[in-house]
Amino acid sequence: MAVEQAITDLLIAIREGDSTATGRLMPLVYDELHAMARHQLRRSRPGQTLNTTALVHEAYLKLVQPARADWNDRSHFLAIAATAMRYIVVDYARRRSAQKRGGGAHHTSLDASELRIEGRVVETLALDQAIEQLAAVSDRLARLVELLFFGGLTEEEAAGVLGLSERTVRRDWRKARAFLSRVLDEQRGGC
Amino acid sequence: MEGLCRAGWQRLEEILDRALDLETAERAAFVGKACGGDEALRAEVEAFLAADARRHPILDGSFAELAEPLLRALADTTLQAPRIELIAGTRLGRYEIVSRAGVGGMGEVYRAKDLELGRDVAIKVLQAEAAADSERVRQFEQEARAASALNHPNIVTVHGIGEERGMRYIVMEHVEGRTLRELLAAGPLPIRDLLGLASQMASGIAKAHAAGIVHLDLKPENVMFSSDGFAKILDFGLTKLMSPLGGEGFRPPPPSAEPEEARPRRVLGTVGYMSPEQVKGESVDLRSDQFSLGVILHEMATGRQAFRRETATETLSAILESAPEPPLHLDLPSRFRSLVERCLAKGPDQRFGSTRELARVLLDLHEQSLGSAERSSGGGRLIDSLAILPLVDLNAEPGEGHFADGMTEALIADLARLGAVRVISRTSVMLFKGTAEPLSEVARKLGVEGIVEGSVLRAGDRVRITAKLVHAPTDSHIWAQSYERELGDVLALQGDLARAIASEIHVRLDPQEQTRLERRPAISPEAHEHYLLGRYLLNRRTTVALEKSLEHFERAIEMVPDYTLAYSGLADSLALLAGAGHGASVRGLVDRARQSATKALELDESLPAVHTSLAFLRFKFDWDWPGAEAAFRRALELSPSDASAHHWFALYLTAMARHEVAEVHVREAQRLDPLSLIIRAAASRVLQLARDYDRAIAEGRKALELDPGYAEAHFNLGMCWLAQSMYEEAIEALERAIALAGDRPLFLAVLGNALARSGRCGEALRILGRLEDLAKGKHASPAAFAILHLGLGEAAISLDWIEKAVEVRDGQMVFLKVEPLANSVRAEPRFTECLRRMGLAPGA
Repeated sequence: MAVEQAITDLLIAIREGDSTATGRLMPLVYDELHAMARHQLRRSRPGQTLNTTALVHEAYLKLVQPARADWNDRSHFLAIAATAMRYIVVDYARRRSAQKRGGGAHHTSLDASELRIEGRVVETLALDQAIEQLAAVSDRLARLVELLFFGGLTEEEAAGVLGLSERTVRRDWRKARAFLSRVLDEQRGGC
Repeated sequence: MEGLCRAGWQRLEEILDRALDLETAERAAFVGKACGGDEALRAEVEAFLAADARRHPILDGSFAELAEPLLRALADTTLQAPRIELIAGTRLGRYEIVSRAGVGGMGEVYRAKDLELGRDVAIKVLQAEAAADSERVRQFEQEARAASALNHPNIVTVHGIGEERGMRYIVMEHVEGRTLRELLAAGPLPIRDLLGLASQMASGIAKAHAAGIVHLDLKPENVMFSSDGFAKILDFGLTKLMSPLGGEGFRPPPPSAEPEEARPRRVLGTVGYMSPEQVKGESVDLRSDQFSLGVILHEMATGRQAFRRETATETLSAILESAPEPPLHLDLPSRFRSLVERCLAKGPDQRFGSTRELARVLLDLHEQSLGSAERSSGGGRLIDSLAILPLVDLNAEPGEGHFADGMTEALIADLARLGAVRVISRTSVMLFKGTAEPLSEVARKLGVEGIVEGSVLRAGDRVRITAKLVHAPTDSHIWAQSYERELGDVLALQGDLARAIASEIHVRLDPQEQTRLERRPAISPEAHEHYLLGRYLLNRRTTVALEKSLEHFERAIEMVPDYTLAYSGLADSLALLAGAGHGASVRGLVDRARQSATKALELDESLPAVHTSLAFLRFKFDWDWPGAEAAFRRALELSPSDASAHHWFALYLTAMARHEVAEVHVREAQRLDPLSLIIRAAASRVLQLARDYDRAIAEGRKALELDPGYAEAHFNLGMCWLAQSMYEEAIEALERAIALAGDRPLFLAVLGNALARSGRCGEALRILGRLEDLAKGKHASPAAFAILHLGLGEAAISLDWIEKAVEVRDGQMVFLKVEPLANSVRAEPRFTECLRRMGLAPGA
C-alpha cells in the first residue's frame, strides 16, 4: 500500500474521531520527514540552509492525496509533522550527547563544525526539557511552541490548527517564550 | 519556577494575559493591584514580563538555525554509536574478557571468565548512549534485579550488573549454542522440533509474565538454543534500556496530542516483531509479547517473517492492517494454526488471557506430536472441545437429581479450568439431560468433538461414578472407568475423574492444577448435601429459588465454617438476586454478596466463579470500572472456559464503549454455551449498543427460534427497532415482552418511550401510571422513569431522574455512556456531569 494512501486514510480517521489514528500516523510521518530531511541535505551545498517550513509543507504535498483531504486534514498533518520534527532533532541530539559522554576513551579532535554541532546539541536538549516543563503547566502553550518553532508554521496556520484566534496565538507565544526563556536562563545559571 | 503547578500557573497566566496587553507604563500599577500583596506572585509576574522584553538567542532564531547542523550531521552518519571494543585480558571487576562473542541489541557481547567462581559467563557491555542516561540506568538496574530473580531453564540467567570506568555491563549465564536467527537461516523447522522449541520458549515467557516482567523485544536474535537442547530467552526485562531513541525507534506524540485515556508510551521493539499496540505507541502488556512470539512461531513454520516488507514504514502498516504472509500450511496441526492466529490477533484482547494458557497448548501439542509418532496407529486422536453430559443419578426419584447435577457442574468447572480444551457450559449441556438423541447429534449441536457421559450411584456411605469418553465424530469410545470413594471424599472423587479425563485428552496438568485436583479435603456429607441443594436452586434462577438457595448455603456454612464453595455459592446467589432486584433492597444484597465473595476468596483465591461474581458486583453496582475489569480478567485467567465471565465481561466492555472487544467476548461465551438464551440475548444487546442493528436483530431472532417465549429477546428486538425509529415494530415487540414477563419497570419504560415518540402520549402516560404503581412497591427504578420522560420529550424531568438514578446507583445506568435512548440529552451539561460522577466521562 502506498504511503500516501495510508497517511491520507489516517488523516481521515482522525477527522472522523478515531483517537488511535494520531498515534499510528506519527511513526509514518516521522519516517518520511526523516528521509526527506536527509535526502534534501545530501543534495544541498554546504552553507545552504534547510528550510523547515518548506520541508513540512512539501511533506504535506508529497504525502497526502489532495483529492481526498480537506482543510482540517492539512491542519492535523502540519501539527503532527511539527511534533515529528521535534522528535527527529531531539532524538539525534540525545544520541550525540550520549555518545559524547559515554565514549570517554574515544576522544577525537573536534573541528569547528563538530564544535558547532556540539553547541547545538546542548541547546536543543535544553530547549526540549524546557518545553516539557512548559507542558507540565500548560499543554496548549507547549503545543504552540512545537508548531511555531519546530514545524515552522505561521501564526495564522498555528491558529488554524489549535482552533484559536491569531490574537490569542500571539499572546500565547509571548507567554510561552517568556516561560522558556526563564527556564533556559535558569539552566544556564545552574550548570 | 521550581514547583510551579498547573493551578499556580493558571493564576499567573490570568495576570500575564492582561499585563501583556497593557503599555509598559501602566503595567507596574496593574501588577501591584492584581497580585494584592502576594509578593512571591508579584516577583514571578515581573520576572515573566522581564523575560518577555528580553531577546533570547535561541528562541528568537528559527528552528532551521538551531536544527540545521544537527540535521546535516544526521544525514552524514549511519546513526550508529561508536563501539568500544574490549580486548582479551581486560578486567571488568572480577571478570576477565576472553573473546568478543558478537553484537547484541544494546552493545557488545563478550565471553568472559568469572575469576572468583571460575565459571564461564557472558558479559554485555552497554552502548555508551544508554549508559549515559541516569534515569535509564536506574530503570535498567531495577529491571535487571527483577530479571535476575527469574529462575527458569528457558530464560538466560542474569548473574549481576556492574560498572567499571564508566562502562555499565550485565553478567549473564554463558550459553553454548546458536541463536534462533542462525537456526532459521536453514529455512522452516520440522513441526516436531518447532513444537519442542516453541513450548520451551512459551514456558519461559509465561514464567516471566507470571512474575510481572515483560520482554517487549522478542525476536529470533534474542532466543538461544543451547547445544544440550534448551531454548533460552535473552534480555528479559532489559528492553526498556535497549530501546533506541532514534533511527528505527519512534517517540509517540506527547500526552497533549492524545486524549487522556489513551496516553501513549514510548514505542519499543524491533520493527518486524512489534505488536500493533507497540506500533501505535499505546500502552503494552504481556499480550504484546504473545504477538511477537506469534511472529516468531510463524517464521519458524514458514521460514518467512509474517509482516516483513521493503521498508520499515510498510512493515509497520502491515502489522496494523495485513494478514500474516504466507498463510500457514494446512498440514500443520489445526490447533497450532489457530494458536498462531490468536497470537497474531490485532487486538490484545483477542489474544490469550494468560501466557501460561498459551504455553500449555504448545506443550500439549508437542506431547501429541511425540505421542502420534509412538502410537502410529489409532493414536493421536485430537479432542479440543468437550461436553460433559449430565451424569445420571441412579438413586434419584424423578424430579430430583441435585446430587448428580452438582457433580456434573463441579466436573465442568474443573475441566473448564484446564484452558487447553473448550468445555461447554452447564446451561447448554443440561438441555440434554436424559436425552435419547444419538451422541453424534448432541455433539453437533454443541459443536464439540468429545463427549463425557456417565452415572452416579450412592450405596450406604459409598459413592460410585462410572463415566466414559466418546469421540463423537467417529462414535468411538476412548475410555471408560469407574471410581468409588466414601461419601465424605466426594470432592476427591470428582478430582479423580477430572484428572483421568484430562489425561485421556492429552492435557498436561501443571503442578498447581495437579495439586488442586489431588488434594481434596474430606467434607461432611450433610454439609455437602446442603451445598448441592443450594447450587441446584441457584441454577433455576427464579427469585424464589434464589432466595431458598441462600438458606442452604448458609446452613452448609454453619456446619462447616470454612466451606469455601458454600461461600462462593452464596456470593453467586446474592449477586444474581441483586441483579434482578430493584430499589432499596438491592444495596443490602450487594453488600452481603460482596462479603461472601471476599470470604470465599480469603479461603481460596483461585475460584474463578467468585471473581466473576465480584466483577459483576463492581460493574453493575459499585461502578468500580478498573476493579471490575481486573476481576473479570482474573476469572478468565483462572478459567478460560467460563462462559458467564465472558458474557458479563462483554457487557462491561459495551458499557465502556469498547464494542469490538465486547463482541469477541460475547462470541466466546456463545461458543462455550451455544444453547444459552441469556447469552444470545446479551449478544443481541452488545450489537444493539454498538449500533449494529441488523446483526442485533438477527441474534434476537435466533434466540426466538430456540424459544419463542423468551421475553428478553422480544425486548431486545424492540430496542433495536426503537433505536431506528421504527415505532410500530418496536411497540409490538415490547408489548409481547411485557405479556410474557409481566410488568418489569424497564420493559414498561421502554414501551412508554416508544409510545410517546410515536405520538401516542396518552397511552404513554398510562404506562407512567403503571410505573408509579410499581414504585410504590419495592420495584422503584429511577432509570425507568428517566427513560419514559425522555420519550415524552421532557428533558429537564428526565435529567432529574437520571441524577436520581446515579445517586442511588441504579444498575440500569451502567450503559449510560452508550445508550441511544439518552441521545436527546447527551449534550446537556447535567448529563455530562452524571457521566462524570459515574466515572464514565472522558478523562475522568
